Amino acid sequence: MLQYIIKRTLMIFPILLGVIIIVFTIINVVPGDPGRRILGVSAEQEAVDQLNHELGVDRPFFVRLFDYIKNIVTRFDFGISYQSMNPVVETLQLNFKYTFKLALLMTIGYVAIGIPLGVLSAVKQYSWIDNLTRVTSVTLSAFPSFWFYMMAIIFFSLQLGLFPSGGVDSWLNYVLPIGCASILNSSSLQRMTRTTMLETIRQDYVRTARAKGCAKVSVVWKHAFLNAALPIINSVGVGFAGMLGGTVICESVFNMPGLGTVIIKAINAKDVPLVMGCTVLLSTIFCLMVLLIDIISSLVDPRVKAKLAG
Amino acid sequence: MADKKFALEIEDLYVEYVSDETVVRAVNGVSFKLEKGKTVGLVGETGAGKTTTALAAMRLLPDRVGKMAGGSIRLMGDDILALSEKQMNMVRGELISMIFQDPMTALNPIMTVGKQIEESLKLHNSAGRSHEELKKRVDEVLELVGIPASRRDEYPMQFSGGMKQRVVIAIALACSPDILIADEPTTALDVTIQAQVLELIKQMQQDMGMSMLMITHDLGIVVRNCDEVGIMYAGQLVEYGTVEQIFSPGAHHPYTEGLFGSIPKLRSGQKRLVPIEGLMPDPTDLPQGCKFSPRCPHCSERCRQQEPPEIERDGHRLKCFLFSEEGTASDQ
Repeated sequence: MLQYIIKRTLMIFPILLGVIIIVFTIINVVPGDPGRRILGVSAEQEAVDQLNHELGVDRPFFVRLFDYIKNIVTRFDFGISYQSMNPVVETLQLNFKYTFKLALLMTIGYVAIGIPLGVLSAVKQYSWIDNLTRVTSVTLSAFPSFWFYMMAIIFFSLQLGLFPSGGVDSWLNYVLPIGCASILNSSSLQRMTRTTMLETIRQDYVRTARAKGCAKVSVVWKHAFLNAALPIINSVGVGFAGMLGGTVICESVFNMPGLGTVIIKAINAKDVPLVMGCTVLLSTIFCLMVLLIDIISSLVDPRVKAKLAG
Repeated sequence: MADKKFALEIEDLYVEYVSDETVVRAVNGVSFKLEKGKTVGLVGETGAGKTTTALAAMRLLPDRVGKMAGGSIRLMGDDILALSEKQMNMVRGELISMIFQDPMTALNPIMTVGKQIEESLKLHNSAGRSHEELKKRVDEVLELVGIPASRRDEYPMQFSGGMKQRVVIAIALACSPDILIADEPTTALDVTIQAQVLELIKQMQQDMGMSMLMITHDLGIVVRNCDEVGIMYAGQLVEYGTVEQIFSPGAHHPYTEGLFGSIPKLRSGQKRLVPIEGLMPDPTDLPQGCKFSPRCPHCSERCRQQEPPEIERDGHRLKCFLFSEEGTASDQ
């Protein structure tokens, strides 16, 4: 297993190299040059050329690509953002802090709502509580998330004045975005948990456990849920990695800093170093997350371990 | 309070599976008594209600769908319907255990076999044994069923089918129950392993002095392992008696005759087996009179109208009009 983990960790580097080459190529094929972007349409051509030369973007494509990779490897230097002229690493560090906090709390929130509801729904299949959670879940999935966020702001901030409508000054600022996102995201997790639980709860080994004298509750969690956990672990893990780059709607509605906003702005401004920096960061996280999923899965299910190690 | 002579008494048991549209009448008035230390066999086709009867005795009928519609079940003299769910959890595994049909699916794939046996011991640890003592008992039980204790920390996927069934048996027997229900314990195994597993169960029964309810559709298993036999058809016991009574020629229910007719005999010059014509009736829509009447070669008008009464002679019970009037068999 350790061998597998080392192998997989080393595999991340060629993947990242591939990602860098592909994204770097795409972003450089798109017309328009950074000098013109920064100085504006009315600027003199000489000034634009001058700036482009300073930024080094007038050099041939392969030279720039090679240089970019070399700087990352030797100095961990991702270049300078064209918009702010700050080092990319600094911008990423600053924003990642917020996004990570937000994504982590959202994940904890939706797991805490989705899994118990899904399990309950499966155990009490076709009961009123199952019907209620299913209807609610489908309804929630039908709401656009920005609408949900805005309704929450209107009700809880403007009407009741319980929570601030935006910003990141205190923990109170996090209640609304995390609450809303947890409820919204829990609906799909709840449905998935229900489906996988319905499968395992009818398995013979669940009956064996009951025949041993296991109480119902312990059978449900210890035997049925652990067997149903693999797809859930997968979905939550991938979902968490996705959230790190995808909380942009939440960030903009609640006026919070974060990676999502940074990425969108960088793409609009054709801020190549920043886009590249975000891409590399998110790809790395994604690779690590998939590895983490594998490790957790193999801890839960020996069959996964046997497959991975074999 | 019932007779202490019996380990399991089932009286006039009715079980229904209820869904939105239909009611499946799975068990319709089954009665029998399992004497302590003895083995009762239940024989019948798939869907005859054998497993349902067993699950009812464990009070493990599927939630909300399956329900006992009538009758009583007593374990070691105590009515199990009067027990709370918590008390029932103490009864299961300690007083009554069950071995399931398919060892491939009966074990939790993500728990080591040792843990699965230990769980049973932990649940019924009224003696307050320490962790080490429980571990020792796990090894003991494993050795007892012929598995080296060193395989304690392996997962079910690392075992063959026959070995898995041994693990299932080990789980069932870990707490030395008084009653063991074996639900077709060898059906999923190949023939060479079948004999080993049956031998093991039989030996365990003798060593521990257990009473056993053996569910099977193999009459050969019955004759070698059971003291009394019940022939089940469409949720009823159509015939019940000692192995001698059932297996010796004489008065038998037409269905029993049919079952025996479909077994090949080595010595007689018989060319073809005689199958029982037709299929089991739809349990959502059972025939009015005798449940076997649509398939019975001796069926008369009365059989279609009225439910035949049960006739008993020396403990040999039959549910058929053929023998009801004379009180003896017509073809004896």
